[in-house]
Amino acid sequence: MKHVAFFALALFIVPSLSAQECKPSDTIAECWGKFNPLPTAAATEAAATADAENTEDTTAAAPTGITNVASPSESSLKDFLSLLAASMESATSSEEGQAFTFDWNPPIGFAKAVGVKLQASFAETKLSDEVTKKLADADTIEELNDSLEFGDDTTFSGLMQPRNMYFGRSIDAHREWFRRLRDAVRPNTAMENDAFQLAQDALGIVSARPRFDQLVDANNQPLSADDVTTRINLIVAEARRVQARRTASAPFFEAFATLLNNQPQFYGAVIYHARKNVIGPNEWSAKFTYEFAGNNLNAFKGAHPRCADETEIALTCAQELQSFADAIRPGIERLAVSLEYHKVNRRWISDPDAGLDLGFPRTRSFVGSVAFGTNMGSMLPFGTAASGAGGARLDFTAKYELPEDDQSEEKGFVGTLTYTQKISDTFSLPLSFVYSDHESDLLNVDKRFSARFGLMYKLPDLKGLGFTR
Amino acid sequence: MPPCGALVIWTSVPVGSKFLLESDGDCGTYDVSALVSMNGSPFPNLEHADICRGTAAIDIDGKSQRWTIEITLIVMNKLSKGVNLEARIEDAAGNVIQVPDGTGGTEPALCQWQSGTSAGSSLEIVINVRSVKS
Repeated sequence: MKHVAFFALALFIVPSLSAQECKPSDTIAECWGKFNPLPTAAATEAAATADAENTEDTTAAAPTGITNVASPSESSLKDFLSLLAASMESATSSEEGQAFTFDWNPPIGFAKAVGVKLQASFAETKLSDEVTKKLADADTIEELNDSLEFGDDTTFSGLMQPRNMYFGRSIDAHREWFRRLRDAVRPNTAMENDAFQLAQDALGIVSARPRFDQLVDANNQPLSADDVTTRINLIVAEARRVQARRTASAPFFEAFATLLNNQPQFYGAVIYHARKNVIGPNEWSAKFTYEFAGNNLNAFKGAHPRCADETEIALTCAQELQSFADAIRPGIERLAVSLEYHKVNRRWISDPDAGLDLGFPRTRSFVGSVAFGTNMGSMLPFGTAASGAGGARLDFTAKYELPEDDQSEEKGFVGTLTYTQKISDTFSLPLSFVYSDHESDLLNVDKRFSARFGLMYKLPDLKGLGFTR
Repeated sequence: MPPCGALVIWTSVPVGSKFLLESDGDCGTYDVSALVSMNGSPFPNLEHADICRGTAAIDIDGKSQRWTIEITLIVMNKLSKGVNLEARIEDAAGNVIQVPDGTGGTEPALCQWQSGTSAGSSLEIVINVRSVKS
């Protein structure tokens, strides 16, 4: 008897508690949304917990840093997947250098295995130091300066990378495999879905728009409080079921994205620096870069070779993939190694009226660099949890320049530390500190210490202009 | 029209209508799919290739059909802007149909959502579609 009484009490209490989670004044969609919110509300909810913030730091590849290949502040993470981005960079030293950069990743329909990035960087135009030294007349210097126009100092670059199962961060090469794992963690629940719809139909629920207290019976009469509670309980029960499935599978999706974003990238670039003669000589570069992070899909498949092909163990593999990603400590580190061949074209400037008669010699050099980057929490009070902004990135780059003439004064080391703060979904603020033990036109440094700041803006989807796939 | 939530219920859908689902953005940066079932039986999924930049469709070809479409969109790479997802039901002429709004009126069977931008984030929608009864 005591057990019957307890059970009856439980039946009374549990439905009442469920009804309190959703109110009669809630719409059906609002009630559902308390258990299964849309992304904006979900970001706010997740930001309230430390675990969710750690997940955001781990999985969100926040700002990718400065992508200008000609900049000493260049990030170790090439953003091939932003369709169009523009960045502005400014040196705070007395050089007063500025560069405005456009990035574009054109979709290549016939070669999905290739990622292409085209870039144009427009530097602030100023006369070459050699030219200003040769000119004694300040009026002539001013006249030449005034003749310079936007675009007289431009760097064009084309970058290409393979995208397949082993290189590149696009899901395309992994989609079939991901689909098998996804279907294992999120199976079809057809029977339960139909039971929910039959119950809706029996209770006269024909839309998710109305409030519970607006629902009517078959005679178009307002419902009693108990009938309203019955409908609330139905929606809450199904919302909880869907919530349980969603929260059970979400860690797998986050883990897969984490490992995908750690995939190595290998890319080659050709860079042409076109300058008006009084600004400096034209230059060519060919650069090859390899960047990688330790824990990625390649490493997972190597540790679990059966998971790459076999469908019957897909659920086990999804769980193992999640454990593999969970083992990564926060603050993903990415390393980039590059080798560059650089050639400066010979150029002679002869202008008797201006008193110019000088030449730039042809030179060749090699540059090796190592870049290390990591996502981190924001050090500045920018962004909101709801928008997902507020992340930051730290990049360190070390470059060594070796001219063809080994005795050249342009042999030496340049180190750069860049902090990039995300302000919003489209704006990021990079701040760099640069040390160089030599002067270098190639690496665009001529002081021991300098600081640079910039503004990065990622343009929106250009669907209307036909630039998107 | 107020925005749609994560649960959508469209009823009294005429036979001969078509449920359509599409997304935009860079297809290589996310994965979108939909589990489909009707009257308690699973149907083939709507997959990414059909949904992204194309139009995935389900024919509402009989009375008393109860379709459940569970959409899952996973962002794989950090995005500057969320992916837009749109679901609608059209008649044979290509016009969006009107469905009961639960308060005696009607509303267009058309919904749009936007995903988050963080890698690993998901957008999940449940759509219940019921055709006219026999």
